[in-house]
Amino acid sequence: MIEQTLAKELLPMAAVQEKNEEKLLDMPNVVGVALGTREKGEKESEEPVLSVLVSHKVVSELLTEDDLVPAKIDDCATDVVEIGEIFAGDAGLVETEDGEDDDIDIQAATSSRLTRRMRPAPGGFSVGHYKITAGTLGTGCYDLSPFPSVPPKYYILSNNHVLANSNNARIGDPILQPGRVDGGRRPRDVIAWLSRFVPIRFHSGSSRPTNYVDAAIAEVNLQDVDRQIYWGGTIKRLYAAPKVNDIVQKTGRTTGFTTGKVTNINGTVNVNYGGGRVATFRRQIMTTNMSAGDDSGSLVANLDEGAVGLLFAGSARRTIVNNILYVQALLRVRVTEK
Amino acid sequence: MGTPWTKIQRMTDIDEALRQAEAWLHEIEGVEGVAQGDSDGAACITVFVTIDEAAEKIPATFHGYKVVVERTDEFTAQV
Repeated sequence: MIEQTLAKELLPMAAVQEKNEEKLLDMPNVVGVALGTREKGEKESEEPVLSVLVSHKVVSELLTEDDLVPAKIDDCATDVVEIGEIFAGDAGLVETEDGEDDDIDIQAATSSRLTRRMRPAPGGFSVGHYKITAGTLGTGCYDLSPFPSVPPKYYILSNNHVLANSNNARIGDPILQPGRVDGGRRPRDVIAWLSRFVPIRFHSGSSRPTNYVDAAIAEVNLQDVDRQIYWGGTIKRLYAAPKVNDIVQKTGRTTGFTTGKVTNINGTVNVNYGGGRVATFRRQIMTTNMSAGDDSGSLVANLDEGAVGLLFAGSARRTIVNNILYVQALLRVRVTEK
Repeated sequence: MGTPWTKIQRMTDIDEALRQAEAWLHEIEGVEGVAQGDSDGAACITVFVTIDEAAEKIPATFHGYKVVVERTDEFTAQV
């Protein structure tokens, strides 16, 4: 038996941990249990707690009583800490004997990632301009007017920085599904061709131009795209005026299906695109963190399948979403008939 | 009798208050965002800052709206 190396005062808590660990690990999203101190925002207090590590937090209203981590277990205070997925290494490409890249998931554990090649491809899966790593396919869409009509073209919707390489692309450039980092290769995995994008206007000297959306569309064969969003349903309406505390959902390439709460509306934010490029976005919707890198382009909706907006940026604590009305108007497309 | 001061301040609606507060984005180093939030059921102005020094330069109220300072790391495009 391995000797316990904890301080004496923590041993009773360790006993509680040992007794309850298995049960806790069976709960949804729980990926670990540990002893720690309570986290308050970005700070940690001195209070010792049984830390229940979860891949992602879910607002309590969405959980049944059985799925809620109790505030105390055997008189031991608990603290639910969001740490994301735990990976031993990373999912990657493995070269097979015949030299062909093959998308083999080398993770032993299950994953929330949506990196598989899909035809037709639903919203939520990996996609990207051939020169970028990967982002997320938001949903299918078509030209805004006239309506009703026979749409001459169909498109996939995502961000400019996903489909148009942050302005560094040409109309007609190939779009891969899955994205390059997920094994997408030309010509095998080309799903669409860049059609339109709203240019991102970056800071330049003292000039700080306004942006409203980071959005682009790529023309697709109708049979290759599914308007349904994986795990998220099919957009049935717009919900373009979300309120603070509204619950929203999204499905994205990296964090899969997640939910969050609207924390702010009418936001003006500076967003860093790397390489010294920063852009100011106005009229943004902000939520609790519900995304990570490569989730850009996910369509965010409320729980009634009403489109809220296009996810494009975030921090460790917040996710930032372009309002769907601006996305539709500036790209001249529609994502739903209502 | 004059109008109470709070009433005068509240004559600025939240959109206009936010529009004016946006100036902090380029006037105060470390301010990365300004947005409408909710504080105890009332509209407030949330200011996202990346450094503590920025927080010290933000007023507690602005045009009658409570200002909530939220510490953040940088906002980045998620690709």
